[in-house]
Amino acid sequence: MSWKTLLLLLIPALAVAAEPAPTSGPSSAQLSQDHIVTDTVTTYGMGLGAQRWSPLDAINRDNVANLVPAWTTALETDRGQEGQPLLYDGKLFVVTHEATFALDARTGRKLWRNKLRYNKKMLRMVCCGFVSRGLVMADGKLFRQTLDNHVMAIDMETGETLWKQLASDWQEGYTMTGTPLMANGVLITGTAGGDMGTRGFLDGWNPETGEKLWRFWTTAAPGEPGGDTWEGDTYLRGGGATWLAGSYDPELNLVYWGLGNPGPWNANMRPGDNLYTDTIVAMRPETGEMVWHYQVVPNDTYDYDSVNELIHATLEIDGKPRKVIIQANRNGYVYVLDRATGELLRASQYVDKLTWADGIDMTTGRPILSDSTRKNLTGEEVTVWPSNIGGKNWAPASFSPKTKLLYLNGLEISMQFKPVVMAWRKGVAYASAEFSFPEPKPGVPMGYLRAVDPLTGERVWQTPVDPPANGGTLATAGNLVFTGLQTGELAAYDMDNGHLLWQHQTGSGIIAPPITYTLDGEQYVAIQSGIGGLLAWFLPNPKFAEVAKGASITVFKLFKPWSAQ
Amino acid sequence: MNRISSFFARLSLLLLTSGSLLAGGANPSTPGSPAVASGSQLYQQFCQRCHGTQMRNSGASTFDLRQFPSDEYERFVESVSEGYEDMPAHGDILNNSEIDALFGYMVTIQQAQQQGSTL
Repeated sequence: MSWKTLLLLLIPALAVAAEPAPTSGPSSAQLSQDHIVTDTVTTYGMGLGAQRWSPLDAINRDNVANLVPAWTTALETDRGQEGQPLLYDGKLFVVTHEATFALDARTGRKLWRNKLRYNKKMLRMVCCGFVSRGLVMADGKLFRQTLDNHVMAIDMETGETLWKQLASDWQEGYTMTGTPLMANGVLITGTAGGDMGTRGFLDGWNPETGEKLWRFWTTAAPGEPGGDTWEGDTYLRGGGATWLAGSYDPELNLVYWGLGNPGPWNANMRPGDNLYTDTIVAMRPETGEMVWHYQVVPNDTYDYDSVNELIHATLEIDGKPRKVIIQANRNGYVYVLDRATGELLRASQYVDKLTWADGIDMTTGRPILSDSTRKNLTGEEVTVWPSNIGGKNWAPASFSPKTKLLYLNGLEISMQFKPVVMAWRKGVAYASAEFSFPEPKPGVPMGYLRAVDPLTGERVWQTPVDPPANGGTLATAGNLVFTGLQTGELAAYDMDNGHLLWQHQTGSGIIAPPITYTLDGEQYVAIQSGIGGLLAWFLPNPKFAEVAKGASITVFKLFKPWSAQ
Repeated sequence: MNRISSFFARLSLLLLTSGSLLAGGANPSTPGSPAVASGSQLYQQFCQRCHGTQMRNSGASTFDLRQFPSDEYERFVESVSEGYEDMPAHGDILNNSEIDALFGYMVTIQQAQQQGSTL
């Protein structure tokens, strides 16, 4: 064999050897099937449409009383746990504000930990709890955000950091507590800090390299569409944070994201509609180009973030099936929009008490401000329902495609509110409002687990929960609704009537969303536990102080005798 | 804090909390006084998001300032300036007079709440 022949034979072999090793982990196609596939959990929201619904029914209302913990693993912090785990290839991937873990899903044994270290001064920028809500996985990598504003990729097998990019400066008031979104091969991340005198944004990243592809500023600058809705340079400190995750429709190739409240809260300090704060936007993942928008509250003065989850559903409206997104907004209304066009289809009150508006004008889509709000804008203190904590806070709702109902942790909390004038100061809270929340009263619940009709706002049933819950819900084909309580119990309720069927004390307070999946043919439910977050900081409820700190994750399955395991 | 500045801080504290020593007889620790207003604004900007509105929180995750001993001024200054356990340091962004104003606000709120009123 001549050397030329040998070279010709070797070149293809060398070329194969030079190719990167095949990546493991879910493909884009697998991510888009997460709402159907039950032996993995590859997306935040248990599906790109964020329904938090599972077709599993092995655990159901007839046997849920036999649910028992399979294992518990400590998560090495005493901060609040708002994270949603992911499951792939027999491993649970878990996020806290300062670490990412891979755990053996069968035993809870720690396989690796990717630890973060923060400048302690940075923590003073965090408004509402040192938390991190979740991960994205794709093609052998995990993606997360850090409190000090890094976006990073982690090897799913080894836990090694593959790349880490800085998105913004914490000293300006930015932090990151949210979950990224993977859409058509683009990693999209948001930011917190809207109440700290910052300007909100979304970023698009190349998940392979960490290269930034685009930035979408959520407050419009002069000369841009919507730029005339701000006076002077108020848009530069105008808020519009993006601290919760978006959702994605692969068929329409549209990303949906809820944008946060304007800053400062005192609306008199920033006349105009303040686009695109308190707005739901649809955008192209490849470019960040906005396709449509619906502003929920123009010139908001009550910190009614519109960041809550955007749930995809098909609902029959006026006799026709419509592909919609549903948002139970902080402001006490549940909105239903056409997913392709942004047309407002329904806006209905889903809380018992609401004083800031007299309804939504369905022609313009704008709220009809109440006399109380108009009086408040003159500087007079008023009582506002719901408070800026909302009719529902961040805790993600679930939606059953069977019952067509939302299952959410609702709140009935008022606030005393008075707009004042305060000067902007870099990296400190920029509310320009004095506000406070009431002390709890015996026999008057501040929270309810609610089944809500998204088309009417009707509470089909509601079960009092006190102190109010602020973790997510999970709806299953077993006719169950799971949610965690801040007093530590993971609880299961009858989907038909809200009756409590089962609960288990996890050791600390729960403020996270549960997930469910199958492993080795058995159905499991998993939940992170750890008191913290907004309500434990802000609500003057002494019951919170009775709850021990300490983060952990527990997974549950139906009881089997030891000898049968 | 050196001894001299500590002395002046204590003096200002005395003025803030005694309520009767300033020329003209004005009581700076009364609700609505300039000193309390300054402390209130600083509290809202720097402290409120962890310690609650008007210092009312559950005590679950952060210290309940209604329980902070009003005679432990130096402990207060040290905790704010240098941080304590999970609390981040603020000494690089709050000066001595601002920390004094915060202490005065805290004491005033405690007194008001003991008397069953709010500011």
